Amino acid sequence: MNHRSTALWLLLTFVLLYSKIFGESGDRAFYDAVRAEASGDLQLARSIYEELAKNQHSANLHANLANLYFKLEDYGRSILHFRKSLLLNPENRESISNLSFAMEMSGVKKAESLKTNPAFSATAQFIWASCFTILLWGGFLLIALLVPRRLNSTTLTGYTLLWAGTLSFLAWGWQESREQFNFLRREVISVAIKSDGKNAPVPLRRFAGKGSNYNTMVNPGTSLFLDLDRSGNPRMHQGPDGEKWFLARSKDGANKGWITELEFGKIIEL
Amino acid sequence: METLFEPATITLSNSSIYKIIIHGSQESPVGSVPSVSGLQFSKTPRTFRSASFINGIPAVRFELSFEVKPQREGTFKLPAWNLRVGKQTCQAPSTTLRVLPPSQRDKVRQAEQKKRNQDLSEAAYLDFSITRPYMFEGETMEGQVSLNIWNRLPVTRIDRIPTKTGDGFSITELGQPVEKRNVPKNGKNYNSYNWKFGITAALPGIQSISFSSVLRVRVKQNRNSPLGNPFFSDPFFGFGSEEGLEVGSDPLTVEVRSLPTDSRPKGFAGAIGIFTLASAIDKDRVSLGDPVRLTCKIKGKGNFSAMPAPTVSLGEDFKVGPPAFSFDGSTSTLHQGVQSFEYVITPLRPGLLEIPPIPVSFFNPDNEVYTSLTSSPHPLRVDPGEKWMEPSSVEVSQSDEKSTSSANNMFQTESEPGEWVSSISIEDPLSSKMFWGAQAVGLLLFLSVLFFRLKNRNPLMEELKLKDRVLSNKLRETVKHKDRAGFYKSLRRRIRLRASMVCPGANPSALSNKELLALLKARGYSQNLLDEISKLLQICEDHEYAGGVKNTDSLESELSRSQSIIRKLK
Repeated sequence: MNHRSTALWLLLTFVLLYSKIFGESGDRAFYDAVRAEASGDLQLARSIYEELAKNQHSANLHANLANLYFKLEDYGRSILHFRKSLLLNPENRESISNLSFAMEMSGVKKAESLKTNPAFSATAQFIWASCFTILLWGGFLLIALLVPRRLNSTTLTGYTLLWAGTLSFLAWGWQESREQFNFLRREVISVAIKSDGKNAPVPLRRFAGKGSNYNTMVNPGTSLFLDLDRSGNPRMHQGPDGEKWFLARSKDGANKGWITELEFGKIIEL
Repeated sequence: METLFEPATITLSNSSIYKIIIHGSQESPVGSVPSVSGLQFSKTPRTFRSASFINGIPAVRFELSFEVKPQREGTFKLPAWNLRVGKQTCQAPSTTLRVLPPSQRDKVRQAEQKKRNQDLSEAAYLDFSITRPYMFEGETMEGQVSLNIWNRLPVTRIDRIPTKTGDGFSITELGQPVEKRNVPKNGKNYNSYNWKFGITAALPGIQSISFSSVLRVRVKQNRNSPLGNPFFSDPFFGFGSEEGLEVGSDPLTVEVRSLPTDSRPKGFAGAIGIFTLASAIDKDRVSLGDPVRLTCKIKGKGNFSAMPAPTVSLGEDFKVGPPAFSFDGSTSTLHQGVQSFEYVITPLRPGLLEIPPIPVSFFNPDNEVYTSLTSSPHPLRVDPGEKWMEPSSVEVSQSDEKSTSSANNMFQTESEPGEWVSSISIEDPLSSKMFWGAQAVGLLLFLSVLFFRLKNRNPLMEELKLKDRVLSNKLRETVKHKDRAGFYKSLRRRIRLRASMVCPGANPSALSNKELLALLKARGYSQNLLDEISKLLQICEDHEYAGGVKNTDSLESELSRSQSIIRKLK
């Protein structure tokens, strides 16, 4: 066995051990949190789940965390984690119904993003893009290979139209899915600052400062969409105290205002 | 006008005829016989009209005859009374009837009559019974009436089923009876018809109830039968006629008690009996506005027909529709079974709601106490659905405690972590290296193929291929137009063209068939293929130059055969 093979085996062993240790520690912490919750120590369970969620995620982790927040009557964070859970496992009926109930308890109307066709969801964008790519270059290759051959003009026109039509459909599906993706990456869930109370309404301020009065208040758990700047990043203002403010608005744009980074939670990581 | 009793003297057990004779008219008189204490006149008189000649003079008369039955001994004087004949008012003269004590013969006859009546009453009679000698007002219990008919009595049909007499009770409709044959009673064999029914006491106090029925019996027409009563005369060969025989039961006296007012529950609505209560809902999870069927079942014995639906008050969370009644049990008595009340309730707000217990109170007639029952509550989860009303803050605060307690049942903890991922993010394909890598690979492949094809491009070969395609189309057209000469001409040209394609540099059009085949042989083609090509070329030349060569093969088969040969030339 030469040096190269030895180094390769060592690297593989390290990767396997790391993944094993990493996965087991996540499982262990999860079980600890479940035990803490079962024993009635909801705060401890919450802190374990939150700590765990900083490094890794699973649909059940976020569902449990959402349930826990609901039991602690923090409906905004409950809705946020249900949304995360559903992003990882969109078919979980229990999470869907629990989310509806949490939204009802928080007095939040169902977001449009929850009503989209799964075929055009943000997560389906990669499938649309892959299909489009395969068909596009596959078609070009076929044309390059077959055109000088025996195809007559009628057959060639028919195949070309079929190819172009399918490509157009895939492009449309991709565009629809991409639109949802753009909404999702801008979407945040409003949560109450703990000092204001578990379910205190979140103010959308006129200016990026705590002294500013507000345009409107939204209930915790409301879907808001961050404004983006020209470079595609969220429009942000950093105050003299280092607090970051973001301009957010409702999906229809009727309600808008500045909120701090503590007053919302992102569904996906940008 | 004259009046008389005929006979004027009778014994107490006999009857007399009171006759009114009107001379000179045949019109029916109008008037009423005065009543005399101790005498009973028949209601319908017999009439008799007659006309005759007496000494050559025509005479008419009209007779009215009433049967008179004495009720006691003595001398009875019927006073003069007025009656109207046509437009004339006449006076009926007074007359006297003497009633003597019954003779020995009368007494014997009366004893026989009594015995016959006794026999008659035993020939067919009604029995009526209930389970308890007293009832409570509004209580329903099961009753039974039996019609017993001596099997020697020639009954043709039951003309009228037993009907109740007595306003203090109401009964359910009598249906089909249960028939029993040859039931021995009183030393005779009877056919017995039994009806079961529900009897409900309507009025408090001492009440009497009896039943009567009418049978149709075939009797002999001869009323002077030596057997006496016509009902016991055996009719032969249908020479008798049918008569109605009324059969009754002995009246039954029942004490109907009022319900006690002490400790009467507030929700008591008149249910009397012994019941159990159960309730169910058809689904425990609905969307807002969807109906839920709440079925309340009361099972047992009692006055189901008089039982009102339980009062269901579900508060402001639900809208309750009127109940639908259904009874499953003894439909003839409505006394024992299961009474179902189905309510359609509509939740008015989303959340974890609870359908509260339904109370039912009833009076138990056996131990004479009131009993109250309640059904179990039903949790109901109401999802907001597509259209839902935003709950007001007041409603939320009111249901806060209830919802939180129920939420523990709803938000259940997963015990397994599931599949781990390192981050919740959706990669944008447009900013993915893999995506652009795939585009680059695709483009590279396309350009490579294009380059390869351009590099290997041979104008002479492409021209030949084009010619080959033109000839192939031409062959098809000749087949289509059945142009045999044109077909073989084009086929010969195509074979030579293919030979020039497989042998670049040679000029097959300038070669003879033998030279062409030698060229192809030099290229390594099999002898079989060369033989087939040789045959084809020979046929083509025969058609082109010799003309008139008869070939029975169809052009289509020739085309397919030649194409399969030409394809091998590559």
